[in-house]
Amino acid sequence: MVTTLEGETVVDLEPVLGYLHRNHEKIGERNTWIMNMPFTDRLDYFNSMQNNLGYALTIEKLAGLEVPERAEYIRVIMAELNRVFSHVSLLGFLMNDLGALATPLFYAFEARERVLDLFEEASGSRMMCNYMRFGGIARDVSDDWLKRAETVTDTLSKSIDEMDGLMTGNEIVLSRSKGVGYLSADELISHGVTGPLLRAAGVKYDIRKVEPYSIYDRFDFEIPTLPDSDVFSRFYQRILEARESIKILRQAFKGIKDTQPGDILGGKGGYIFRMPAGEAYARIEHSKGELGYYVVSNGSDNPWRYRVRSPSFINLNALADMCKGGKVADAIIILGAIDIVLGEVDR
Amino acid sequence: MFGLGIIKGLGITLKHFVNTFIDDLKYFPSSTRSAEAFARRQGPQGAGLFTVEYPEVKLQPPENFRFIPFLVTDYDVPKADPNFDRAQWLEQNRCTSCGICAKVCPPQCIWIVRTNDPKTGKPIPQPSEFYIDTDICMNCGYCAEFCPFDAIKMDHDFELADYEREVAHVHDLDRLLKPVSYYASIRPTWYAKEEEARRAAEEEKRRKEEERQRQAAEREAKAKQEAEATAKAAAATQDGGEPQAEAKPQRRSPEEIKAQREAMLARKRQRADETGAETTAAPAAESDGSAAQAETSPAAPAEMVEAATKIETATTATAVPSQPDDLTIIEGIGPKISRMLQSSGITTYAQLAAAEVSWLRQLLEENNLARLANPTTWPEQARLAADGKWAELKTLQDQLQGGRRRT
Repeated sequence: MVTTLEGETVVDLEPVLGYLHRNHEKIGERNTWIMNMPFTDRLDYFNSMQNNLGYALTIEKLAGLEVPERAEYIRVIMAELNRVFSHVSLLGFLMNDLGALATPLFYAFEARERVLDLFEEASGSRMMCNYMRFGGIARDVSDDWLKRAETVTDTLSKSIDEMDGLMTGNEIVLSRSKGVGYLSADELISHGVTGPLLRAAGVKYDIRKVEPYSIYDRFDFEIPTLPDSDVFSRFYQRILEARESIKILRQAFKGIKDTQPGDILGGKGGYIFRMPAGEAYARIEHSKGELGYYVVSNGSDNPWRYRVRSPSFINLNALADMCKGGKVADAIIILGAIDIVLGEVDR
Repeated sequence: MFGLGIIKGLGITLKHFVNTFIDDLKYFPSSTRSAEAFARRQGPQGAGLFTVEYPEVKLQPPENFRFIPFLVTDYDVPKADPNFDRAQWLEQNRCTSCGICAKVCPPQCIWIVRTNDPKTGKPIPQPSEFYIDTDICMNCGYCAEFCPFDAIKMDHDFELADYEREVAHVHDLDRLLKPVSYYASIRPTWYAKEEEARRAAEEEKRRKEEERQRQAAEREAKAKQEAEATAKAAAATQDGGEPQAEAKPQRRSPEEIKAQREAMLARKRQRADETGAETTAAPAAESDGSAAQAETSPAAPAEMVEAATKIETATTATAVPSQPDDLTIIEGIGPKISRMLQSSGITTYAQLAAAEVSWLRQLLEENNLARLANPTTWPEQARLAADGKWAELKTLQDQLQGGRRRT
């Protein structure tokens, strides 16, 4: 960030990007369709399951593939587990930025580790899952895995409560974060901001409800909103959303019991996909906002155009306006509360 | 009251702090090492200290864990074993160098060189070289997922740190090949599932083969009848019938060609099994395994078999064995090759001395032993042995390496 200061007050601020740019989209046009899947893991490396899901949905939309019931449930379980630990670790990182060194972060990472263990067992890798395929998922999960995932969900629920108790009432946190980084809902919308940031400004906008993808329309959950649009409400918004995710998870664990084990891949599978010519854009409610993939096909083995609408990058647009007029120290936590992952910002 | 929230938060950290000690006491004195305590802490409802003291305590990776691919060879003798036969180890590699893994690899880090028959130029289903650049590999597991032969699999070994970063990170065949027992040990359920599928497929193939043979027999009988009928007709009309009758059996249906090919493959496999049982053959040739692999072929094309059998019968006709000699004295000939030579009529040094090198080479190839040995100096050695010049043979053999001249 290039910051212009007047004393300790931020007059102007400009994020400088590009240090992690690695031609993701251009490589995506060289790759065949399925080769892009492991590359999407590397976008937001905290949310590889959701990145996979978004890309798989786009290609399914383009090719008109059906996804079996069980695969849908497993996708939702993975995506929501991912969202919970992503939000919980954000709380830890944010506290780290605030100066609460390590303790909240370690608690958050303990919760995260348990989910990563589940991911590792299901997909083979902790962070770079590469788990979704066009028309389903790579491999089924066992009953034992599901049982363990249910227990982990309970543990996660406890650790969310713990994080809540640890930090929400803390007077230092409150005095540092209340009223900091205010930006009105209109301004946020004009910057294209989505996700928890926008909901923390009182806008009830969640793609899982607005344009339900996968099987999200079957679950009973709320979209929490907070009115204040400051760092504290962005922080607390994450706790509320993580709790809703736990609700979805519990319903999904119930629902998956009625599905046929092993029925996880629709379509032909395999590694050769001849997409019909055309274009498709699919979006999901990512932990950080609207994650969209836009692909254009000319009927060949690889995308003619491949574009990622990454929430981290677009949410970062609002940073300058949030910071202007605030203190330097506040700029750090405002950035922290936006929750960017640079792998996704620069692609 | 101001500060109440802080105190409440500190209460939670205190609870964590106390809990770790309670846990420690429960498993006292081996709280860090006991497997039970470890499983509890790392489990889904973990309590106590979550940290793992890494080099001393290691997390067991789950079965699906994937890291850096390796190739599976069905030759199941460890490298340290004295009977280890490198040629077999390479030959029973499951990889057929079809190249799907290289094609599907997202960062394109796999490089395969196919083996070509040096004589016919036809490809042989074996990679002569296989490289994976592990610096580029992104551990996505596509190669293992899409390999139709279960030949490439993802490894569990993640402790790969070394002091060098150029050559050692490009894994070659020697580094990549691992015995099937290793694969079975890291992925028992995958292995069991694949073996079951393979057995089922073989059963199915056998059933189909029988069916096909039955059909072929029926067809043959029918063809014979027809041929007889046409021959009769030709005899009656004296023209036109014969070329038709000749043309018919020459044209082979795709099924027949396929059946023939499969039978050939089965023969090859059988031979490979035989050689697999024989582990003592030509130990000296091991060091030259890779060189021999590049220039020789494991499979004998069908037309060569025919030609060779003719030569074979010719040699056996002239051979009048008086007293069989111990051919293993010749450097490069082990018990297996000696047996092969005996069965094709060569039992004495004199006979071997008279043999053509090219014929010997062909014979080796037919018997799938071409990798084990190089016959160039055999007649020369046999001449010395036949003349009883043992001292000269000894000096010659000292100059040889694995039965061939050092270059």
